[in-house]
Amino acid sequence: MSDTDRWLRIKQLFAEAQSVAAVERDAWLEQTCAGDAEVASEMRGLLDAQQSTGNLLDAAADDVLRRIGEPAQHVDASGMQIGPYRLVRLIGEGGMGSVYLAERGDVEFRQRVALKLVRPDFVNTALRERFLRERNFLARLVHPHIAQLHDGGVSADGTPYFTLEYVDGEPITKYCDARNLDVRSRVGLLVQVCAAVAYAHRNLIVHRDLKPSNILITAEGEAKLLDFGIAKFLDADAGAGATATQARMMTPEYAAPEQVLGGPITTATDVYAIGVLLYELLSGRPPYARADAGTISWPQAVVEEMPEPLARALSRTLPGRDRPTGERIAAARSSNVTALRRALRGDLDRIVRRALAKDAESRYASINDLAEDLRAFAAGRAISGGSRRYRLRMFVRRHWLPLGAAAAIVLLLIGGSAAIVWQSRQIVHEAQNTLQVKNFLLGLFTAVDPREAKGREVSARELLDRGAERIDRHKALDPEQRAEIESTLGRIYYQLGLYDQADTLQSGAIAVLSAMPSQVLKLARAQVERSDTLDARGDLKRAAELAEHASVTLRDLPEATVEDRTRAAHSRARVAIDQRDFAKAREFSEAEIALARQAATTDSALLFGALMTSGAASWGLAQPERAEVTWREAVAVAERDGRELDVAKGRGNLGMALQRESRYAEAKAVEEQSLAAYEKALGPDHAFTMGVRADLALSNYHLGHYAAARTMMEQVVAAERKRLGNDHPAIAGTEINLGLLLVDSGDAAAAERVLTEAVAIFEKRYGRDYEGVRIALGGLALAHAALGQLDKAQSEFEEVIARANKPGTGESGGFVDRYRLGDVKRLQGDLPGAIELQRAALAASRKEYGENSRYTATAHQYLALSLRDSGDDAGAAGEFRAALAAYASYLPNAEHPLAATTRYELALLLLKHDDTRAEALRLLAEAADLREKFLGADDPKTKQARLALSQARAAVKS
Amino acid sequence: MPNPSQITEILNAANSGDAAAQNAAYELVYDELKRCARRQSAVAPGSSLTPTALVSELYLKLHDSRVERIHNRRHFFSLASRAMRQIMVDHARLRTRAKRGGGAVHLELDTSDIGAETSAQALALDAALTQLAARDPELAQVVEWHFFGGLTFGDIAAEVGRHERTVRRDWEMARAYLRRAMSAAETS
Repeated sequence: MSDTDRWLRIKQLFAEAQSVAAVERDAWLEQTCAGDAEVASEMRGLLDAQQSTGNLLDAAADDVLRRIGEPAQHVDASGMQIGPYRLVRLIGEGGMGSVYLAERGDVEFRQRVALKLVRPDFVNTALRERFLRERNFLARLVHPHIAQLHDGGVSADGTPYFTLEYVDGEPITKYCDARNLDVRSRVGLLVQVCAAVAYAHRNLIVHRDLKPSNILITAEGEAKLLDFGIAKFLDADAGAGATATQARMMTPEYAAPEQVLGGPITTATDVYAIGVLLYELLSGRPPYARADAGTISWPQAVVEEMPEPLARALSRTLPGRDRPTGERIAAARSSNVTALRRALRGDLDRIVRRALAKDAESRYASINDLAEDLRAFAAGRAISGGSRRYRLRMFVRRHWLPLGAAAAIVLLLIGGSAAIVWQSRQIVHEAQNTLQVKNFLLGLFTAVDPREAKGREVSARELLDRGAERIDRHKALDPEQRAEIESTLGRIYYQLGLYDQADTLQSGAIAVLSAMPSQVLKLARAQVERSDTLDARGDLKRAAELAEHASVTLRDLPEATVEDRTRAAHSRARVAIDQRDFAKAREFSEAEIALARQAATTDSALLFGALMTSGAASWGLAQPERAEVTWREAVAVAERDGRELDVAKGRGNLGMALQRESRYAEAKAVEEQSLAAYEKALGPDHAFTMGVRADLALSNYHLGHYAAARTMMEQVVAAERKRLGNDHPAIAGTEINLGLLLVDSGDAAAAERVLTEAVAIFEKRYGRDYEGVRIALGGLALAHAALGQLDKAQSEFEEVIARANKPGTGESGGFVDRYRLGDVKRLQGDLPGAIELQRAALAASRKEYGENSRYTATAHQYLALSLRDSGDDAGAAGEFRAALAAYASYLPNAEHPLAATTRYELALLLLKHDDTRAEALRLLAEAADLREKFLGADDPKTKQARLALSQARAAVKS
Repeated sequence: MPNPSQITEILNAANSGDAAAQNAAYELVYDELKRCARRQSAVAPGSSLTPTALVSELYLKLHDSRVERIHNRRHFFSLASRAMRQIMVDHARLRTRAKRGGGAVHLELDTSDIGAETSAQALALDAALTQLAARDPELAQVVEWHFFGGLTFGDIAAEVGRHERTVRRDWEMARAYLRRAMSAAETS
């Protein structure tokens, strides 16, 4: 077959092959090309080639030409004569033209210069003239670190040229790498460079094209800048194409945003270029990760992308091509990756960031300022313009201010000047980021001259408000920064208990972050914080929704940390507790604990917080034993980490659990420890201190130490009044306990006063249906009964019982009121009624608290009295004994005033029968001793017992 | 420099098969194109030479002289496309030479890498196209007109009096052939 025929056949086959499916192609080829191997192989080759990509023909010719670029219109001119210079050899090719080593041959000594031939297609007549005009001006730049401009002119064929001092050196980047210069040395070199640039700026010349190839370092380590101000003159009169020229002439990697966008060029443009250079010298990479990876173009990155943090740039992994690894880069800086990364954090990162600011106004105002910061870094001093927190740290390092002492001062300020918010003792205190608060406030303190701050008293509140005010004034903040600051201040207001302000700031931050799709994580975190604030303000429904929303977001967000998820779970648990949905609270806190255990290595305070919420959920579900175990672990966790305040908090809660289990002696011990810690850390008047004091008072009360209990409780009430005003619910809560105590210790009149107030406070704030009202009313009824106002007592008890709450919520269990009401009925003479109520109450108490509890003991006691009054001595005696046994189960030797009364009453019964007289005497003696011990020798009850005892003894003798 | 009607005359002469005239016409067009290109560069230095733009500009200039015959058009396109091809080759050669230029040290990280790469490819394409023209002038012409001249398949079909479908098919074949030839040249 002839060549032409073969070709035609191939063409034909190729056309047919287009409609054959790829999978069948091979078979089809075999069939059709049967016999002709050449045709077959050519076909295969063509069909394969058809599939390939990445060929020139796939683009348009436009692109091809563009990519080839504009070649220099001149050829290698070595050997040529240009003016008085003879071109020796080509040194390099740049975007602007070629550089030759040239000699001036018309003098005795051969002066070597660098001669730069400007690209002819870059210059038109007007530019040429301007260049010549400016040349003289440039020649006046005389500086040790600037390559001197000598001469210039126009060659015979009209090509402009100029000559510079010939510098035998390496580009700064290569120089540093070749000698493995460390970070400090590199910075030092750059300071030299900055000096030169600053000198030029003083002479009103902007370089505009700073880059490593224009910054050479000689063998002696001297910096020399080349090509000063050339760029400025060459593109000036280019008319419509000006921007294009600029963009083309500048090396895109070093071009400042305004150069790319065609905006005004200022000295800040040079600052930017130095910033890029600094970035490269330090990290070995260019600033923009995405452009480096080729994802976006350089001009785009310069305008849009934020510089990657220096330390992170070190570990940048890039596809393909031969790139130096992090290790190589570190080695070129005489370091290793870890050390280098550390060095590149902090100051250096800040300097670089400022120099690379997109907005020229935000950069260093002058090269000198940049040089100043570089010098400061090299000398270990604080750099300019950092956050106040930063300045504090540097201050500390250099002047050794013991941070611990200052922190204590700040905490007291928080206690002294901020509003304390009442929190139900069932609510768990969060694991606060106190250190952060301390630092921030300290920062505000030392924002001014530290000496000034010491002299006068500045309240934390005042400082905070100052901080909040500053945000508003600082209009130039970008949204992200603003949101950050609002979040921080919001957090602090929250921790100081100023929830309104916190909410305002946090809402602001959320609004800003919602509009930034890249800030989902920050948004979720802000939502968690705001949820806490809403919780504290009592807006529980919204708090729950927000916390749930954030939780769901974080669950699916890969960049969310375990800490983030833990905190979100914590918020959900706490809100649930406040909503009194303890089952849900348990569910969330279990999740919280699991997460917190994972995060334990990085933030153990989270585990503490999780255990506290879990305990609170158990408490709410009427499982004090479980709460006790959990809170004990919380204390252990806090102890292990030496967080004393948290230990105190944990112990406070533990005490509460122990009380609930009627283990009063243990509760007392734990609460005393807690109180001591709070007093030491926060002072005697702090809300937390008061809270524990109230709990301890209660334990004392249960143990029969009425005097101590009374003093403490009255202290707490007074403090609450002072800080919260006269109608705050906290007062009512404390007064309930105080009232019961007063009844038991015999001061029913005082009891009536405080309990009346308690009812009034609760009712006013929450309405008559509120549980607190019910409890207070029950206490008041008791006081009235003790005062003999039986009718009043009865109606109050009946109202209380009618409103009885769910069981398992502490003393508010309905049966307590029942047996008390029973006692009123007894006193009214309705014994059957009394007994019925009290038997029911006893059964309920046994069921809820078991036999060995204070409540059951009291139930037995009351029932005994009713039985006695109804003539059932045997029954009564049995109940008295049961009461005594119950007391003895949680009080060693049943040592308690109430148990003394039990003994007394039982003794009187037993005296009636000869065979129990001895026991009766013993009991009376115990009663008298106990009463004397607890109430004093002069107390009427003691005297009563003593009298009965002596009478009984006398009766025996006779 | 010849005025537009002179160019047309030469083109007409070239059309009649006069080889010398053909060469002259070609060089004329080539020069004119380069002049257009330089003018563009001077006004807006750095803008790329777009074949379509340049060819259009040249055509318009000739068109203005109101001397136009259908043959001229076809010839014009051929010549213009070929001229564009030549310009690309010229640039590519200069680019490669510049890179290899005696001991030149490239001091900056610029895009010359891509330029050199593309230049080498462009030269390979030129060689392959010449090869193809020897085997199948029609196919080569489609490539020249479409790729260098920037004409659409429809335009080409109208010019040569064939179906657009067949022109497209030819392009596919030519492209496969050229790709194969270029990669063969690479590996050798």
